[in-house]
Amino acid sequence: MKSTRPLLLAVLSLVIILMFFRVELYKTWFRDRVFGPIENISEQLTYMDPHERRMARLQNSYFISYNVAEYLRTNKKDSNALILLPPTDYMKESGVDFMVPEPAVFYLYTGMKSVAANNKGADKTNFAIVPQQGANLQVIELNDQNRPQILAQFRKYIKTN
Amino acid sequence: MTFLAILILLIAHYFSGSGLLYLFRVKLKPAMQITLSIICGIVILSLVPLFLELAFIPLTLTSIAAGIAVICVLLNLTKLANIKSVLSDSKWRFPSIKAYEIPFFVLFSIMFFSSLWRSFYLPSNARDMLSGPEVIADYAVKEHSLINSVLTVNLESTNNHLKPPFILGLQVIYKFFGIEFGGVWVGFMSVCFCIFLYNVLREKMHGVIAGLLLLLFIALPEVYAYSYMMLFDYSNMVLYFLGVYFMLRYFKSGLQSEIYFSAVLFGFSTIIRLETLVLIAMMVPLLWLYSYQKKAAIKNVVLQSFAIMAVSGFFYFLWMNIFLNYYMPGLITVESQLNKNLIDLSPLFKRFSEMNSELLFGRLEEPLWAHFIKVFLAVMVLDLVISRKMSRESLNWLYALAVVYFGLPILGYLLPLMDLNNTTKRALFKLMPIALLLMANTGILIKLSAKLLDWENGNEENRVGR
Repeated sequence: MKSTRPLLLAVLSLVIILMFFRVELYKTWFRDRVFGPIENISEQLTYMDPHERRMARLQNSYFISYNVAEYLRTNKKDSNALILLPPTDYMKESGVDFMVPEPAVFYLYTGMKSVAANNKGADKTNFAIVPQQGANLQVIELNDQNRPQILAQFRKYIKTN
Repeated sequence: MTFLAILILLIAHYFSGSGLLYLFRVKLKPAMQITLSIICGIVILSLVPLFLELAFIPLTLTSIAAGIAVICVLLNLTKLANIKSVLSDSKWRFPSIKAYEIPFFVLFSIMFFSSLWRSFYLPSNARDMLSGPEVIADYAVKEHSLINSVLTVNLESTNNHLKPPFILGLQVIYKFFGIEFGGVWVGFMSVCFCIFLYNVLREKMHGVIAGLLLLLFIALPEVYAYSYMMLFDYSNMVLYFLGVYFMLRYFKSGLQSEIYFSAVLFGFSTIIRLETLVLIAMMVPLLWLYSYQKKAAIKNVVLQSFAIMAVSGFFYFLWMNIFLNYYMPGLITVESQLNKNLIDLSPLFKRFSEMNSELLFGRLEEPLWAHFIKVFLAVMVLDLVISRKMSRESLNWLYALAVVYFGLPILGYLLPLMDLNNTTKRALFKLMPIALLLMANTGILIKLSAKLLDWENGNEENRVGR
């Protein structure tokens, strides 16, 4: 009789686990947070390139930043650009899905330096990312004439404490 | 190649940690010994890039690998000197697994695999990482120094580059070894901790109850998310818990080495999050209380208290007063972080109230902790009603719980930057394993465990655990 008792306790363990995951909160959690990601692995294995993995995880925040930097490097031949980053709220209002990274994160994504409109050095920026009609983005070159207007526009969306 | 690099680093974590455990004569069951070694090794190796930087040695794959090798050898010198006795002592045998543990082990394996894969595959997306350790580590690999071009970028919106070197160091090492997003160490840390915790629970509990308790812990939604996502708080919880565990172990065993090992673990938790120092200071009176009851020699108590505060203080001093002061000067002062108006206690009460009404018992309770807190309270109330007394060990765990519960609002009051919805929320992770151990020490669960074991053994034995 003694030898079958651990097996009966194994059945008890199984029942406990099944009952545990009958609780809606745990069932949803296991499906979404544990098993769901395992199901994605076969697809993830086809995207092992770090750039693809970053795009999938960080989405537009990374993708747009990366493309802006590529554009500046290839079209403007300017690797030392100082880019004026728009406020995320401005992007939202313009219908652009772009969670704007802060300068340190932009540097991680692109290797290029940037500032926000309320940062020191904003008046020395030479490029800006601005929304266009149709929820698109454009990289424009800044000069002493257009920079103050763009800075003023961006600063409207920056919350001050 | 990536797999090989991960394996080499895992072995290096194990050897460095195992050397430390040997120095402190820590002897546990193999599963605990191995997992604790890896956990300690993760923290030990995280310091390698910092020490190289302090010595003005450029960070390269060679210097990092040499640093790791030197640390491993240094920590294992005593062990190597006594290799004969070490080999004769180590009678390795495969741990016995009971049939009723298998369903839980299968389930936990699925959960561990999910954490491990994501810690490897996913790049970090936490702001605290991207604008701090991650970007500095990325450029440290390119520029061979922790003090690199990131510090020339506009950093007005962040102070994350000033956070302690734990994650930074590990990310530098893993990136140098060719693991693009680092991160795998998070998975190692969480898996090792859960295995360690299960074995701690098994010291008192029957396998079925220990399995259920660990399941409740792993299924803490917010905590599980950080078992694969890089941030300071999960590791901080692990090392702080281990510090408490070895302090309380010392209270039972009286082995001096255990209280000093506890001091080292508390120190490790401080190098992960510096403010842990305050909670550690709040744990010291428990040592005094124990020593008073045991009528321990005052000299010993003073030495032990000093060791606990000195190790943590050393790590705090190393980062704040040496590295940030002399290597990255002018970026931060402690005074600038402190509450300027300590006479006004209203922020303390407000934080305590919000912590309870929002995070622990309010609208965020279920999304953060699922039903863990309800189960914990139910077990505690039932135990009070049925058992009507708490053991000395339970009271010690209760004290440790109270330190975190009351200590976090105090930290929020002292450091206004420690907000409710991020820092305090994640600092509450530290409550969870302590609450789990408090449950595991209740009379009702211990009696239930004993009854299950008696039934399993046909009343032939009366012993709990393996």
